[in-house]
Amino acid sequence: MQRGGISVKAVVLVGNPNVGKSVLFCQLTGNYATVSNYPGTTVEVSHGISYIEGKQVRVYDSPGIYSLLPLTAEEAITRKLLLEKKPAVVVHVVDAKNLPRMLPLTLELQACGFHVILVLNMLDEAKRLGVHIKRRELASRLGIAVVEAAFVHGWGVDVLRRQIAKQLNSSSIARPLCRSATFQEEEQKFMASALQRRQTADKILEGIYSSGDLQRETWLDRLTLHPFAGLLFSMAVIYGVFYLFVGRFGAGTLVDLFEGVLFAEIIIPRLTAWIAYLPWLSVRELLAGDFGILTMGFSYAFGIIMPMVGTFFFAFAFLEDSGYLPRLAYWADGLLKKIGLNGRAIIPLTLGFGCGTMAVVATRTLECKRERIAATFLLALAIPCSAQLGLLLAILSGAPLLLLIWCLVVFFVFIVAGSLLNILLPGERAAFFMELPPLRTPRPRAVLTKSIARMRSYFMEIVPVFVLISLLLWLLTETGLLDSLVAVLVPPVGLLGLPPEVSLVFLYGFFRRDYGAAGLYVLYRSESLSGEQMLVAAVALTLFLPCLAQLTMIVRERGVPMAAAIVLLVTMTAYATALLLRLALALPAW
Amino acid sequence: MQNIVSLDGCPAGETGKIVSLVTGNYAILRKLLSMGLVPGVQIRVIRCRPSFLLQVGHSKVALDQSLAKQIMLAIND
Repeated sequence: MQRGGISVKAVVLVGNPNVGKSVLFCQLTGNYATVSNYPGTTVEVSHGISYIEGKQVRVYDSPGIYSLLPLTAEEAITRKLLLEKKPAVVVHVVDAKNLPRMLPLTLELQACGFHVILVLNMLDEAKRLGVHIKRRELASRLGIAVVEAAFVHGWGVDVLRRQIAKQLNSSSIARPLCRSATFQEEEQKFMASALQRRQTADKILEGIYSSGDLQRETWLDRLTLHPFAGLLFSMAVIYGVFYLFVGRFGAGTLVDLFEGVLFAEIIIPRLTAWIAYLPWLSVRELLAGDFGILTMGFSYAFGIIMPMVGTFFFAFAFLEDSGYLPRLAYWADGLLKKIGLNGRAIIPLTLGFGCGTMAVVATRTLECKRERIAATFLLALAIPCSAQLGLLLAILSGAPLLLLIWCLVVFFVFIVAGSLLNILLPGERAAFFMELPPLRTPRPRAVLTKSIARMRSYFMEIVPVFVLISLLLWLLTETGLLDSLVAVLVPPVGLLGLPPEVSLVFLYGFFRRDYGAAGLYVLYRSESLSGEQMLVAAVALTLFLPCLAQLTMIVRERGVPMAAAIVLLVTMTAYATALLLRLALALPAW
Repeated sequence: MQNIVSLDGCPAGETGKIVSLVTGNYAILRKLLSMGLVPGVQIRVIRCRPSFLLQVGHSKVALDQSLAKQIMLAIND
């Protein structure tokens, strides 16, 4: 990589998931990490600059892999990284106690011609369990540097730095064979060599690795894995983390504070006062009108989205670092099998209750295309994001019966759509397999660093989109096109038994998902809609097209034809459901 | 005389040694392999519901019925 004329060498950290790569990454780069790629769950590549003996190197933290022949899209990203960045050093981090299972990847990396440094991390934990590894002997049998470490305690980082420096200074140049034989082995050959590598690994470890005792099950293990209590626990986690913390605290308390007080009472009035001095009306409108870039775009992005998404990222990073997410997947597997997905899909689906846009990106963690399509579709159709959910709950909580019907209808649509997709989508369903890492107490600094990095890149993407939306809405009002668009929507909305004002609500809803719900809230308070009409409108709005940001992401992840098909089907399903509901409630057409 | 059964019939608490993986599907083989489920390895069934939960070496691995079916186990006496 060229930077200011000096070539910066690359160091890539690889290894299985949950072996402590991210902690090492933080220690090597300090806090100056950038999370490139769009923030999903684990499909992201953090990179940052580290100084090793005065020399600048670029360090990459790759998504966890089990072998170089990838199973999921995120594993493919690690392989791509290794191919494209041509790292001077590859640091393979392993969980010391699981060395026999992880050593084959070291051999595979060596076979590809990379300069590998093997790091035996979490050695403190391994030693407690009585695992013994003869490091020197292992290093000499492998012919590479082997470093002992416990990065959580900062132990081993300096030794690793010295080893990286040594490798960087050595005259030999890594010549990855990736493009030739090893990477493009046929599956059959790969399997044979994979089994062989495992045998070789076992042979290498003969006499220098002793496995010690198994980790004792803690009470938390027993609780989270108990057939009945575990299920309750997972529901409590979803309720506590996503509903109470993100929904009530983030989307409620913090939004009130940021949007209601900071923006509405302090920032916006001052800005509007200054802008009032500008002589041109349309410019004033563009900056501070109903859809103004400052009044709508910025206050929406920083007043509403930031507290919601911020608390969500924080909560998610906390769960991720605690090692609990795979257990959630274990619980959800049976349920999700019924709609053609498997346990893995719980992560994007749960994310969807926070922000659908991020959730679409997280579908990359699913194994096959069929599942990625099904999850994307269900996210677009039947999973309301936190912004929408908060407002709809506010509207419907006054009428518990309506709230119940709304929940049942949306859940029913979710199940039916999922089952239909299961039948209609071609291909085989992917079997569920996942490693359940031990539960750990997340380290506050790591959680904070991770969530801030994700938030930063999220805003880089989202702020320009909001500015564009403001611009577009401003153009539509200036040209009078907005009225014609609303006019087009009036007849179909009338057929749902809803008055013309609701058309505008639906249109807004597309640009700003929660704005639609907010518009509905205004109509509700002015009592221009009956309870039944509220219900029909709420169901339609929930099932209807996701917001513009999510649509953009669907196009990016699934391509234009698939996105178009999804949009068409979602619109039709939403409309048909609302229509049926109106008929069932015996509401007259407007 | 060793008792060889497929994993999906094993109750919780059973221990045994993997003798073979019965599948021609490479994607499945790769999954099992990446989790350390290879012939010769000792495993213990921790739970069998809602999915299978195995102790393999120092790690816990969850897999569903369809994968469990493909693993042949020699039950320890």
